Parts: sequence; C-alpha cells; structure tokens
Amino acid sequence: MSSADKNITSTHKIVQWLSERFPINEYIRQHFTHYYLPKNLNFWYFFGSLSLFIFFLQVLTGIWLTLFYIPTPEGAFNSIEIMMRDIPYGWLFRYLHSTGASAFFILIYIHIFRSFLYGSYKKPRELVWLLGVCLYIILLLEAFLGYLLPWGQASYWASQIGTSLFDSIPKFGPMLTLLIRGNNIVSGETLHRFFTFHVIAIPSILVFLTRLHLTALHKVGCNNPDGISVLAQPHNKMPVKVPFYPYYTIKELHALLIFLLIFSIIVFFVPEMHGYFLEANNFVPADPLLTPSHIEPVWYLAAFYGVLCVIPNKPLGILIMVGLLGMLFILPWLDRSPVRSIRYRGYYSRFALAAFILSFSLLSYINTTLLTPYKIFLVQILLLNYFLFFLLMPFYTKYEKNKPLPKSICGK
Amino acid sequence: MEEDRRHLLAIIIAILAGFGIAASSIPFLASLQPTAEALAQAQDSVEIDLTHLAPGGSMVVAWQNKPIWIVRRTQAMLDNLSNIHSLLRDPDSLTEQQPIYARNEYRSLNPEYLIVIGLCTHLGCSPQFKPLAGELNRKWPGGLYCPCHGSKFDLAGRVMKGVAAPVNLKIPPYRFINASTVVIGENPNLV
Amino acid sequence: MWKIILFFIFIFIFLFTIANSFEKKLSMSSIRASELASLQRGAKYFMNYCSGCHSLQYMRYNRLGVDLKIDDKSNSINQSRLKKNLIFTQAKTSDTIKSSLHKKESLLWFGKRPPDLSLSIRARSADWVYNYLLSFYLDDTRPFGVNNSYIKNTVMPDPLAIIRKDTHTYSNVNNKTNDRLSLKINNHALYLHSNKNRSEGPTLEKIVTDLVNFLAYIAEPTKNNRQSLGKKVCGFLLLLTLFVSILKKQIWENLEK
Repeated sequence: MSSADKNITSTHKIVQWLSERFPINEYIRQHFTHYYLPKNLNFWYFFGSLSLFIFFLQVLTGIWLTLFYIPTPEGAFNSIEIMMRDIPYGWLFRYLHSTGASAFFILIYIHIFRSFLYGSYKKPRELVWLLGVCLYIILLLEAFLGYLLPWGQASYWASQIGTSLFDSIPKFGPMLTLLIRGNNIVSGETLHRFFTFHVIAIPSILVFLTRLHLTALHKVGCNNPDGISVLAQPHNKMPVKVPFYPYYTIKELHALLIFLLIFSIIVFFVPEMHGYFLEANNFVPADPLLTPSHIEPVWYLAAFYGVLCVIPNKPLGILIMVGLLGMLFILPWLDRSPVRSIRYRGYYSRFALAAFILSFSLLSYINTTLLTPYKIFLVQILLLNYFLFFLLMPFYTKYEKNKPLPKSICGK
Repeated sequence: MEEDRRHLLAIIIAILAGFGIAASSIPFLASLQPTAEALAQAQDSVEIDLTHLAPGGSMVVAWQNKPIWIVRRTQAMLDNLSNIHSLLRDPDSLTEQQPIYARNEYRSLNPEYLIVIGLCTHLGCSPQFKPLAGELNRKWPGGLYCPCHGSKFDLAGRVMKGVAAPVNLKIPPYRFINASTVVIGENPNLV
Repeated sequence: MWKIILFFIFIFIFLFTIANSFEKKLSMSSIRASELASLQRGAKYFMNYCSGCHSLQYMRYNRLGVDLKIDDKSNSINQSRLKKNLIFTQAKTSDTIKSSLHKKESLLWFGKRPPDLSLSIRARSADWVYNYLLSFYLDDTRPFGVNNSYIKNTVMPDPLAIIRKDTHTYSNVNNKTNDRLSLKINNHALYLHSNKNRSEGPTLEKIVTDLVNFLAYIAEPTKNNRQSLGKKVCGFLLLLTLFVSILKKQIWENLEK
C-alpha cells in the first residue's frame, strides 16, 4: 500500500479529488469510451459535429465582433468598415463570421439530407428529429436577425420585407409588426433589438436546444447507413459497433480538418463568393428612402422568400411558407416505410427523394436571381413538387417494393 | 511496435494542434490593442493660457485624457515647501516621477506654477485640491488629498509618509512658450 | 485510389486559387511589387481628377503613405512627400481623405452629393467601374455636355475629359445601351509594370486601369494580408490533416485484427 502511495503523482491526487466530487469518469465512460456507434458510419455522418464546431466558431467570432460593433444606424456601417481596416485582424473576424454563417447552413442542409437518406427521423429517433427541426427554424431566425446588423442596403430592405410579413396575420398583425420593429419602419430601434436577440437571446436558446438534441441522440444511439439496428447486439460477436473514443474522435478530427481547409480557402481567398456570401449591395449604406432595383434574398433564405414572390395572394403566400417548414415536423409520421435506409428502399422513394433535393436546390438558386414570368411558373411547379414529396409519402412508402435487408452491417 | 507508432503520431498531432491553437489566439489578442485613433490621442499636446490664474489659485485641464492640476503658488507656499521634509516620503524626488528639469524643491520648471498629473499614485483616483494650512487636520501644510484611500500630497505633489500611495505625483513634460502660456506634452528645447 | 485522385484535384484547385498571390512582396506593406507602381499612379490620378468632389472617408492619408511606400517612416510628423504630392487641402496626415466640396455647393451645382468612393469597387465590381469611366460620350442635351451609358443621365461630368481630348477617344454614339460589360479589364493589366515607353503619355485605358486598381485597394486594403495569411493557414492545415489521416488509418486498421 505504501509503495503504491509513493507512485501516485500530485496530478493524480487532484484528479482523484475532483472525481470524488464531480462525475468526470462516469461522463467520459458514458459519452466517450463506452458510447458505442455502428462501425460503418460514412461521409454523411460528420456534419452534425461540424455544425457544432461552426456554432462554436460563430459564437467566438461573434463575441469579438461585438467588441467593435456599434448597434446604431449612424455607427453600424462605419464600425464594420473600421473593423475591416483599422482593427488588427478585424477583417478576419468579419470574414469568419460571414462565411461561417453560410457554411453553417451548408453543413446543416447536408446534415438534414443524411437524415433523409438513412431514415434517421424514424422510430425511435423522432424526438431527435423534432428538436433538430426546431433548431433549424431558430437558426433561420438567428441568421435573419444577424443579417440586419451590417446596415447595408441589402440588409435594410430584406429586413423591411421580412418584418412586413406579420402585417397579414388577421387582427394582431399590424400591432405585432409594430412591436417587432419598434417603429413604423425598420429603424434604429429595430437594429438595437435585433442586435440583442441575435447576440444573446437566441444563441442561449440554441445552446439549450442543442444540448437536448444531443441528449436525445445519446439515449437512442446513432443510426447507420444500412438502417439496421446494431447497437442492441451483444458485444462479444464480430464487432459491429465501436466506442466513440478513439475510433470516431479521430475520424471526426480528420473530417474537421478537411472542412477547415475548405473553409479557410474560402475565408482567405474568396470570402465574398461572387456575391453569395457577402452581397455587393450591402457595401452601400442603408438608405430608407431608396429601395434598390433588385432585392435578392440571401441564398439560405431564398427558397422561403421565393414563395412570397410567386404566390399572388399575401396571406396564402405566408401560409405556404409556414407550410414548407411545417411539413418537416410531421415527416416521421408521414413515412410508412418498413425500411429506414435509402439503400434498401424501392424506386419510388429514391425518385421522390431525388426530385425533392432537386426542387429545394433549384428553389434556393432561382430565387436569388431576377424573376421572369417563366421562372415564376417554374418556381410554382417546384413548390408543388416539394409539397408532393411529403403529402404523397404515406402512399408511395407503403406500397413500394423494397429490397431485402441484410442480416448485419458487416456482411456486405 | 504498432502502438508505439500510434503513440508517436498522437504526440506529433497534439504538438501541431497546440501550436495551431496558440497561433489562432494571436488575432483575438492582437485585435484588443489600441487602434490608430487611440494611439493618435497619446501624441497630443495642449496649449494652456495661464493669464487668468490668480496667485494661490488652481485650474484643471485635460491632456491625453488625464486631469492636469495647475497651481499658481504664492511665495508663502513656496517657502513652506522646504520646511515640511519630515512629513514626506521622498522629499528630494529621487524616484523617477518627473522630467529632469522638474527634479528640484519645487518640482517644476518655473517655481510659480505647479503642473502635475492629477492621478493618485496609489490606484489612480483624482485627488482634491486643499491648499489652506490646517484645512484637513492641525498638521496639514496645504496640498492635495485623495478621497479614495486617504493619500496625501504636498503643494509640490510630493507624497507624505504613512499613506497608501508609494511615490510622488507624476509631472508631465511641458514647456513655456512665454510667461503665461504653457504647452503640456512637449519638452523644453534646452533640456 | 479515387481518394488520391481527389486529393490531387483538390491541391490543383487550391494552387490555382492562390496562384496570383505568389509574387515578390515588399517588407512593410504586403502589396506586391508590380502592383505598387500601379497603385501609386492610381493615387496620383485620384487626387488629381477625383478628390475634388469625391471623398474616401475610410482611408487616412498616413495609412496610404505607409501602404503605398510613399513615406518611409510611419507616424512621421514630417511626411513631406505625402503632403507635397497627394494632399491638396489643409488636412493633416492623420485625417481621412475628404473632398473639400461642401454639401450646399454640391446640391446647387450637381443636384446631389458625389458619393463616397471607398467601397465603390465592392458595391459595383472593378469591371463595372472601369467600364463606367471609359463610357462617357458627348451629349449636347446634358448640362456638362457628356452622358454615360452605364448611368443614364448622370450628373457627373467626365473627370478625364482632358485626357480624352488629347487622345480623341470620345465615341459619337448617342444612345449606347450596354447591358453587358463590353470592355473587360485585361487580367494582366491589374499587375501592370511601369511604363516602359516614357516618350508617350499613358493611354486613357492605362490611366483608368491604375485608378481602378487604386480604388480596389481602397475598398479592401487588407486584401494582401488576408491572402498571405491564408497561404500559411492552409499549408499548416494540410500538414496536420496528413498526420491525422495516417493516425486514423492506423487506428481503424487495428480494428480489423
């Protein structure tokens, strides 16, 4: 006993003192060394942790931006330009935050796509999915609020349009719009409250929901590209599941580095991304008296903005826009397929998914361009396709012929 | 063997990653430096007109965002300065708190005018001007009194014994253009 | 196998993206040598032809002096070369570049205030500004005798009229509707070397190229810093990725055993 005592170093003693009072070891066991995942997770599975990293990056760069940003109409645009020129590395924080916002949405869209591919929203993961959809909608809101802050022409008029949406709610609409804006038009009051919500209120909600999302995930375990439950299998057979540490920590680190490489190339060499990540019109200070001739929505909100352009009826347009997001909530119950993964589903599901992805991508792209009558018609067709993907799903998933499922993920 | 290689790789990666994280903290810290505009404020000098300052009176001006006390001392005040050495911690101004030309009994270029930075050398509060003898207590010779922690200085800005402040009040660089105009922030040409 | 191919494609794209930033750099400002001459000429042309009406409110003279290597010491009180050659107002070198045209006069003479040009390149693109400056044409119906095919009925007079007169480059087309940019900036022109032929003066296109280069620098003075830092960051990340991928393969291979 005494020789063992001599071998215990002082760091050991400190760690031991802590672990008697704080569940460090249990936490590491439960979530790292003994948290098992299927061993066949592929490329599509990294985007959740990448999103978490980007969220952390946005918060960090966001905090540094608030050191220099002035949330008043007179000071906002100037403070950002001063940041770009006079503050050492100020340009870096600005580009990281603006590229990070677009990167966040790209990662999230790929992350959601993975769920469509492998049926990660089906039982028992409906709650993980629902929390994810809530996170997505709140992220859209956060991005919309943040978009006003540069106080450029594009920012100002996009916010003017966005806040006018609430006017068409019967009875409470105009009052609600007034409350949101703090004034009859988008003004200094609007800027200041958008700033406050963007900087602290919404991120706190996002952190909380992310915690719930991850807790729900760890309770039910991760899905896999074959869609077969493997985590319940006993451990002593041929390994189908591996602990998170070290197998997936190293794999996710690898994915993170590759992502950072691509991200850095964009941040350092093409941060404007030809007007998609930083709009040219936003380099003109906001002028409440002059609406620019084209108002292009930022690409990640374009699909929703487009709805308003192509539906001639204002309340109906807003309803459809809400419906786009509402469909996501009921997805787990629309899908009647006995098979999770797209790999073993019949042709209907494959065709429907391909059409859906195509329509959403095209919707996002087309609505960033100038709309002509032909394009408006195309957008209406694409919207219809989007809804049909969901509304027909109970039928085509139930009646299609699926491929036979493999016994295990190893036997391929 | 295999494990050794993995171990070595892990160490290399840890070192590189540590270097990367340290390097990426540089922009965050560097951005906190004062900007060009803030630095420009540090170069400023101000010109003060002293014609309206009566003997025994005082005024406060701003230089580089610091308060500067200017006191026009009477002959009686000046004579008293050499009598109170026993009350002072550093009567001969041995610590470097003044330019060379102010290292004298009066701690100034021109004995008539005391020009001193009005920031207590304890923790930076701004002292009050209490010139009358006996104003604070029976032994008070006249000087500056800091309300934050009770530090006391005489009419040449020298710190008294037994107070929290360690050194004399700081004298800024200044020069006289003529008898009644002083430029604070620039040294005289002859020195 | 395809991973290796993908890797090489990736490296190729990366090198292509950063290819134009591999040139000799000067020690203080990180502006490339070939660009510097063009920017200095551009500064000269801007102060001569444009600064009477247009301001560059986000740029300070002394910053210009340092970046363009017009004065050797930064924060030097003397900065005489800068003062003598580029400052035509009573401004101090630590001031921002403001035009001396007051609001009242500008409204009286032009009907609107000449906009600040600090971000004109970012808001409109270098090609647009280049074409705009070259697209003035004679028009008797306008108060200053010129019109522009990019901003119809602009109130801006042609700032380079003197040079145009010398080189007779006015086109007499009255109604040129240009929706597409007809004159593309030659990419090589952005890195113009100094005028080899001293006998003839610079052409209008060369002057406008230098001006646009200068305005592009004003719009984003930290562009070269960003590119040079980017190369270092990407190089480091590449190295780290290499090591991590080796370790990853080793850990996962161990699983098979």
